[in-house]
Amino acid sequence: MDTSEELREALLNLEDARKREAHQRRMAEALLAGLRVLVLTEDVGELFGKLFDVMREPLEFEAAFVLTANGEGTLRPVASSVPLFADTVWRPRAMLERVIGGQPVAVFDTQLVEEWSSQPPPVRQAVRSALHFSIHTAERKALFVCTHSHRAHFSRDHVLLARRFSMLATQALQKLESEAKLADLQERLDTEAKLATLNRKLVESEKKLARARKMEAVGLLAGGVAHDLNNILSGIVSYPELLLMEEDLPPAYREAIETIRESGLRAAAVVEDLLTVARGAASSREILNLNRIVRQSLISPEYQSLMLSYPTATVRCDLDSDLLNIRASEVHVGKALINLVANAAEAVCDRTEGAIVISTENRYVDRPLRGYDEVRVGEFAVLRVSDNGRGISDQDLERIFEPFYARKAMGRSGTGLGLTVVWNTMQDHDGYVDVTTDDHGTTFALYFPVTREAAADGSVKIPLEDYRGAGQTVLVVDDLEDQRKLASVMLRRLGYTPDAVASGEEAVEYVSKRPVDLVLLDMIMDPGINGRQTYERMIEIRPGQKAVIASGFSQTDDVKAAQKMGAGRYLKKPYTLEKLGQAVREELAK
Amino acid sequence: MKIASAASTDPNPHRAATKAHGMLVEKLGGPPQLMLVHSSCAYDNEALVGQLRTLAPGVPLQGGTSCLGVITESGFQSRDGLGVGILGVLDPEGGYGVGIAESEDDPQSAARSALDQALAEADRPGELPGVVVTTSYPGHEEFTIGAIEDYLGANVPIIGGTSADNDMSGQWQQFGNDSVRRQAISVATLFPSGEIGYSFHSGYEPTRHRGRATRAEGRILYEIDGRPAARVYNEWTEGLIAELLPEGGNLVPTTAFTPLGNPVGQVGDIPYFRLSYPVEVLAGEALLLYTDVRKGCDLVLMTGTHDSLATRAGRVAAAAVDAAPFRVDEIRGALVLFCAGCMLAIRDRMEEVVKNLRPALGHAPFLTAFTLGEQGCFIGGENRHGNLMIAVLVFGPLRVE
Repeated sequence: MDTSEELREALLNLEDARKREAHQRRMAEALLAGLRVLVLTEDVGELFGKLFDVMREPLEFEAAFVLTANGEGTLRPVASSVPLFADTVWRPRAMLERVIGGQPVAVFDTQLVEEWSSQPPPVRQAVRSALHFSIHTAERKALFVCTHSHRAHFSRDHVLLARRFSMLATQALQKLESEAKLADLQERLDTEAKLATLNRKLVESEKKLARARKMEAVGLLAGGVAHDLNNILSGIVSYPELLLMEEDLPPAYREAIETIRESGLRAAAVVEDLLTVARGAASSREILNLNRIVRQSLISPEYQSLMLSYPTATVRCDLDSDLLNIRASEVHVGKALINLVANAAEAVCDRTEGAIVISTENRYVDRPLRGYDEVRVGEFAVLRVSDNGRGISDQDLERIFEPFYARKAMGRSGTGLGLTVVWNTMQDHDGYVDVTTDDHGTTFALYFPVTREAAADGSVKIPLEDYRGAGQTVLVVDDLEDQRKLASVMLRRLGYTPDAVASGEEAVEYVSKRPVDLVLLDMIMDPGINGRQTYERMIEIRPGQKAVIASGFSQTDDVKAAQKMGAGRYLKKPYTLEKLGQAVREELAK
Repeated sequence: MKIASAASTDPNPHRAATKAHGMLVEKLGGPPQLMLVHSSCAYDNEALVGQLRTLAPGVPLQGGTSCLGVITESGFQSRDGLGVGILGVLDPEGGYGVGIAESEDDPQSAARSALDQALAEADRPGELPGVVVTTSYPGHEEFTIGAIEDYLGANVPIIGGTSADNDMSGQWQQFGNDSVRRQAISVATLFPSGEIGYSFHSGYEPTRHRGRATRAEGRILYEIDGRPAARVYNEWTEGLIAELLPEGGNLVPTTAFTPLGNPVGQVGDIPYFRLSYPVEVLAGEALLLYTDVRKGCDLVLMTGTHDSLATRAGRVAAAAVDAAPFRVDEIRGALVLFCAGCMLAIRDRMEEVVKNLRPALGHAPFLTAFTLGEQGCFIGGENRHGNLMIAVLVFGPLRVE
């Protein structure tokens, strides 16, 4: 190739490229301006008005309008730069169908095109050439029509610009729609997720509610039974005490009576467990060390009996010698431990080497542990009972603490309240239960909040003289005759002057006629007013009336209300002579 | 959009048409929506076109005669002055139509008539086509272009060629569907579903010899600067046509490397030219050109070389691709109109031309016809008729940049 010719062509091509670049830049600027309007303008009427303004120069039109489908197979203007087109109706034929299909179309002579030749004369006269292109989205189809009064006004450049604008605008609008849809979808998903969470929580709440109701039902039943049992047990516990006070009681009888008394006390403890299950109420608590409870439990008759039933099971202890104390009911925690050991023994009963490990440790939880139960932040003394049994299925795991579920689902022996006692015990002790299980075994971990207080070294027998009365009058108020009789005998034995009435109303009438030094007031009486109401009326008559509250139930709101009004100690049935004496003496001393 | 080319040099027009059509359909995988057909005038083209219409009834067919044969991507298709080539466009989403009209004394009316037919066949009356492909006969190309622009607007790209025969004896023909004519304008209106690119280059460079047409009429240039045009031209070319003075005679292809240029535009400081091919010395030492020449227009002696003619087609094709909104590897096909005079001047280097065109067109199918005048769209957007030019039309996909 000739060098000068090559140079000349290169220069021409360069100039051509520069020219095209300038043209492309103008087109790009026009497109951007149009797209900016499309994207930033929300109001449709305003949008097209702005589009007319920004596209007028690059597309070189005199007038423009926008057509949309009206659902009857025709198109009508939704916006127009001039009133001329406002009332026009367009029936798509081949040309407009192509535009709707996405192809921009320049018409060099509107008189040759059916869609235009069918328009009213003013339109036909005003418009000789036109440019049509679409702006499509999935949901909207709009046709942009540019017009000019000169024939063959629109060129290939206009078509190219229209095509690019059409495609970019369509993409932009579809993107916006997609984003909007995505946002909607995300919102819906979020809402659904929230609903799912709420539903899950609702289901959980319903489960808890069902469990609570079940427990409540059991509680009502157990509470009623326990109340009656306690009253019955009162005789078994209290009369032996009175008999044992006889100095000339034959030794053989003394031993038998002591056995009766101990049995009665154990029975009362069982009833108290039942009440714990029933009411979720805390029993009397004292400062204890879990290690001591473990050791005591391992020498208890219940444990011995249990191990005889499961001869292949071995129990190993791994106790933390520095374990912190807890404030707990020894009976309940011991019961819970025995229940867990029984549970573990049954889990390993089909193993040739069933291993049960009881361990304790101090544990500081610095962030919530999301296990079976959520363990909150704090210091805990943890009691664990692990076994190498077959594990618990997910389905069973969900319900094992429900009353009577474990026995039905897992074939456990016992009352069916074993794990329920564990759960309620932990609830009463403001503690938590965690359960981990797999094919290699199960571990129950009980988290007890620790206390820095020192544990008592054991009970000290208080001499009778320290709580004997001096003939003060005591009115026994109880709806049950045997309770009235028992209390009266004990009070008399303690050196008081008892009298008794069978209802709250009688008690109020009694004190209205004559003063008494102290009232031993049963809280639940049926029929008639309860203990709180009785005390309330009494103090209207005898302000400052001293009273000791006695009840087979745990400390209730009524008890607390009565205490707030001035009533004294709460004495839980069945009470011993010593506890009754202490309570009466203490109250009278106030 | 799919494009394929096919060719045959079978001397029998029926067999040539059948072979080329069969090959085309096979390559496309189906019947095309448009056939651009160029064949040498040595064929019985009525038989050839008739056979094609029989094989592809209803498919718009446009084209004309091409000097000696055609070029496709497979090479120069010419044997004993015979060769036919078809560029087939398979584009169901596009629109294509062809019209043809005898020019007689009213080339403008003929052009409009042909356009109306073409637009009607494309089912797009009144709509602006993407490009108009034309085939005309020597003598009225400028009128044809003017008529098309008057009808469609000045900015519609026009790509075309003047039908040629093999020996300048006036055997050229124009094809339009079923018609094969000698003095007609054939047009195809193309509404491709994809994009197009085009280029129109001379590839010659101006010399220092310049003058003004002081007497001209139609295509006859009588005087340059007040002196007999052939004499001035002979001086500028240092005696190239001295043997034909003063009696006159045929100048093809003697003057193929030294045409006259008429500046038709300027890109920056660089003018670009429409070339006029001096084809005959007339009585009175006038020159017959293959373009119209107006009194008062500037004339420049242009010059080219064998090498530049052999490589020019590739460069023009590359320029068309540069101007197109798609990449060279996206080209679907191309139509190239190559000056017959240039072809005759470098006939033995046609394979070199093919070799240059192939990569410039992305190894896509193409058809090159050799014409006695070329119509195309210059860089500035002007549609022009020129001689010794190359016009390239490339087809590609629709793209948004």
